[in-house]
Amino acid sequence: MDVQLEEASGGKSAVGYVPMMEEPDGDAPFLPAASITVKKFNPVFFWSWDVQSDNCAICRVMLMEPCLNCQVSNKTACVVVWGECNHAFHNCCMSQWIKNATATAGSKCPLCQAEWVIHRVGN
Amino acid sequence: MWGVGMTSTWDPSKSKEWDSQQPNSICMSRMSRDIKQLLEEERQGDLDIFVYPNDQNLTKMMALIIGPAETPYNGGFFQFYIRVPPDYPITPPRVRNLTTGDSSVRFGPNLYNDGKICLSILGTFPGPSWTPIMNVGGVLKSIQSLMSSSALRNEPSYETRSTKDPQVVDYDRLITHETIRVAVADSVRQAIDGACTFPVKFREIMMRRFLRQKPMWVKTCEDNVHLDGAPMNCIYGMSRGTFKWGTVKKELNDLEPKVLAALDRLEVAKENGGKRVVKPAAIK
Repeated sequence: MDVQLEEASGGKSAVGYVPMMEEPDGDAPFLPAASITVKKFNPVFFWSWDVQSDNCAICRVMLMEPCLNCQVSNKTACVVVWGECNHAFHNCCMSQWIKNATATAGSKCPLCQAEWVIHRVGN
Repeated sequence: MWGVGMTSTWDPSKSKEWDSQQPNSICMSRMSRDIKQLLEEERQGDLDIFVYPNDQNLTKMMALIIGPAETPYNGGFFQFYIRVPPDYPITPPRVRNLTTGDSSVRFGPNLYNDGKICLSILGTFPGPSWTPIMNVGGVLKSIQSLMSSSALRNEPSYETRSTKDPQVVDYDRLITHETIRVAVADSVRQAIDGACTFPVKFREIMMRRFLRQKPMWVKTCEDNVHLDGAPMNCIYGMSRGTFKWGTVKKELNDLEPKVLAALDRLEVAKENGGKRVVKPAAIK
């Protein structure tokens, strides 16, 4: 953007330099304000603990990086798993724990002890 | 010597099944982190927990926990052997209390005379179990917290007893006696002996602490000497012998000059050892 502005102010022709950011979407209809009446408003909030947990609490390695076992065996497809409690771990680490925990005490989140239900798997 | 070849679900010295498995990379890196953190906390020095990791094998370590002040364990030197499994931290470490007067003293409801420690996170007691977010430091702190006053109230059916209950008070007195007799006097006597297997690091801590805290233990002995000869009864019906406060006090007094001499020897050895290490660097 800076470059474009400099060029524009530098006396060169600014024709054809309509900045993309300012271009209206075109699809969005502009309706007169009076034609809408809000009758009901149902806000939906999503919340999560505001914690800086960038580490997997099991192996203590950054969640952005593969877990150690994957690093050692050069597997890069190590994904992160989120529970419904919003705690995240490496999927490899968590599945090891779940495999062990179901045999003993039942599968619980290691951090908050809530019943472990997978919410999302990904990166 | 602890039943070679046997396996046990709590005893790190009978964990042969762990020898055949190579610790995985998570285990190794977690342990080096745990150890680093423990040494850092140790340097800050307000926990009275000291560790001696095994350089050859990260999964094994020794720990020295000093009994907290204002408890019957006050100042006592308790050593532990800790070993973590090859799949640590998925499954918990195993810990053995090595300060048991040759398996003769039960130091509390949760500290058995055979070295077993009843602690839910170790899987040896009902209650909240191990989770992989825990670490060795947490286990050691939990063990230290078992060393509390009104120790008998750690026994499930005695939890609601008053701190003034005669049984609770008597049990604390018994633990105080055994702490000074075994965890202080016996431990320090062993630490003086250059041939003992304790890490030098622990020996030095124990001997320096001894000199500092000896007057307090001597006073405790003097305050209780009228009880000498009375049997040390406890709810577990173990034969514990009789109170010997006078003998213990004499033992403490006899140890003092020996500790001073042993610390001098250790100092000299360190200076000599230090010179050997320093010289090559100085030549460069």
